[in-house]
Amino acid sequence: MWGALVAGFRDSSLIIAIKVSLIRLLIAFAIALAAGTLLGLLIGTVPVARRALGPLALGLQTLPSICWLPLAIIWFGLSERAILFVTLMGALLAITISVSDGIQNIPPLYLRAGRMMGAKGFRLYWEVMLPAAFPSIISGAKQGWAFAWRSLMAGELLSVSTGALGLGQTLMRGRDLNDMSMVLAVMAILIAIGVIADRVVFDRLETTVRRRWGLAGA
Amino acid sequence: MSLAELTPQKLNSAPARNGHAPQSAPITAKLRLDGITMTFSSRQGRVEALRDVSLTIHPGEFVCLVGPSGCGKSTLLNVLAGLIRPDSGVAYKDDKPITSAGPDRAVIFQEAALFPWLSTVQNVEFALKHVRDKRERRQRAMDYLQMVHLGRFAGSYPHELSGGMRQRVAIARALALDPDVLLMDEPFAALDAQTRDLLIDEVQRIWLATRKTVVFVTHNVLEAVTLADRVVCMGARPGCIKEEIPVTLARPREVESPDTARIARTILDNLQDEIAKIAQEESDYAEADRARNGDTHAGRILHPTSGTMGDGI
Repeated sequence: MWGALVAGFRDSSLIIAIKVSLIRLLIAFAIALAAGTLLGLLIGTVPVARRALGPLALGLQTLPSICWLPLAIIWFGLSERAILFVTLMGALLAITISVSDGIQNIPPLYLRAGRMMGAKGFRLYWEVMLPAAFPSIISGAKQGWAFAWRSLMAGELLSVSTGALGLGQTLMRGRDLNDMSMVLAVMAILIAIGVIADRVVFDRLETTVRRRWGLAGA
Repeated sequence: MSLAELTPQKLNSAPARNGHAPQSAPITAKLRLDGITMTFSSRQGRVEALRDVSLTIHPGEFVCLVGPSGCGKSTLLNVLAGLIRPDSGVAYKDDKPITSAGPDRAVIFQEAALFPWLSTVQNVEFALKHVRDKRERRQRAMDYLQMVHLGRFAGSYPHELSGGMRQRVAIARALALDPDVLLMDEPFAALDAQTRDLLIDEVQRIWLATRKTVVFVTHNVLEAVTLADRVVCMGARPGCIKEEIPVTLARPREVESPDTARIARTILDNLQDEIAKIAQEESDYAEADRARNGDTHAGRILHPTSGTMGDGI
């Protein structure tokens, strides 16, 4: 396995695979974060939207994201966009639900203080509700990232022939070539990236935000 | 900062707009409550928080609402703030009906209600969003922070401040709105006695400098007498106004002076009936509760003397 790792990094095939997968992930995640936050705001603040979309979001959340792949392939063909779509759908609903929960759990005191100071409409959304819900948005993003990562791998595994070779496709090729050390090497990289993203990026962000927001013990 | 430094210019010359002390200005109502009735539903049934309450507050007047817990004094304040709507009756400011919350009526809540994601100075700046120039906005926010002696803590976040400091930031933020009216809802109830006395001095000093119209809700009669031109005593079940007592002691007043203590004593005596009534009701309820549960545990008896009104006296 070490040999495969070293060789992969030396001929940069693994580095390219990591880059390809991470770029896909970042694009899909960024879109999911923006769309999920907007949807969450909508569900969290507009009662009609809550009744209409809330149960739908919860229901779709239980659907494993790879189930979107057939739909994605019909819509987009066996293309880059199909993989992006599956990844996006994996993250979107987790983020939406976290944000809408966060909005509904904002202490009413903040909203009253904001209204008392004349904040309404867009300003109330942007300067009071969104920051007040920020800790939930971070938690949602963390969850969304994990879901997106899994969905991406599933998508890549099942569409080997598509576009540039990401980590999932490299893993599948390892299987095809019966190359155990390659398979293990890719799995090690997947775990490493997952741990780094979770511990280093999201946990830190979450701790900082929770402390600042006065949610953690001093 | 001494009292002398607290010039009207520093306060955006608000006093000029608000007129002078109520005696010299033509007496018109700054705030008027007309037949306010408000009922809440709870598990114990419907509670009449306010019944047909009418009250007039003059420009530049400092009015304290006191009364036992549950007399609807905070509800009354929230009606004035436009944060809740009464079931019937109308609240007016400058003879215009109050329909929503707005920066012309700044509220200081019992918890400071600062935004934790903003630093102290940014919290004050939130109230100054109409100032387009960023540097000027920062400067004005700093002026208000210095007014409450917190200039040194401009960069701190709310969770790094003590309760008293947070409440002072809330006062600075409210003043930064340059409101017509300051509505204070038991702002010092959660503070220790020393901090509270300090803040009472501070509020008095600021009021003397700005002469804003203030409505101040408290359950602490001594606090009320120290600050108010007029103490409005409320009774409970249903919430209503029992008595209005003008306080004409010279300012600045000391919290612990014999004069304030004497007047506070009188008010407390008057309110004693109300307190007793509530205590009786509560112990009746506890009695019924015990009878229902067949529980004779002594700890559940409510003592009639443990009402909140005795606080600080």
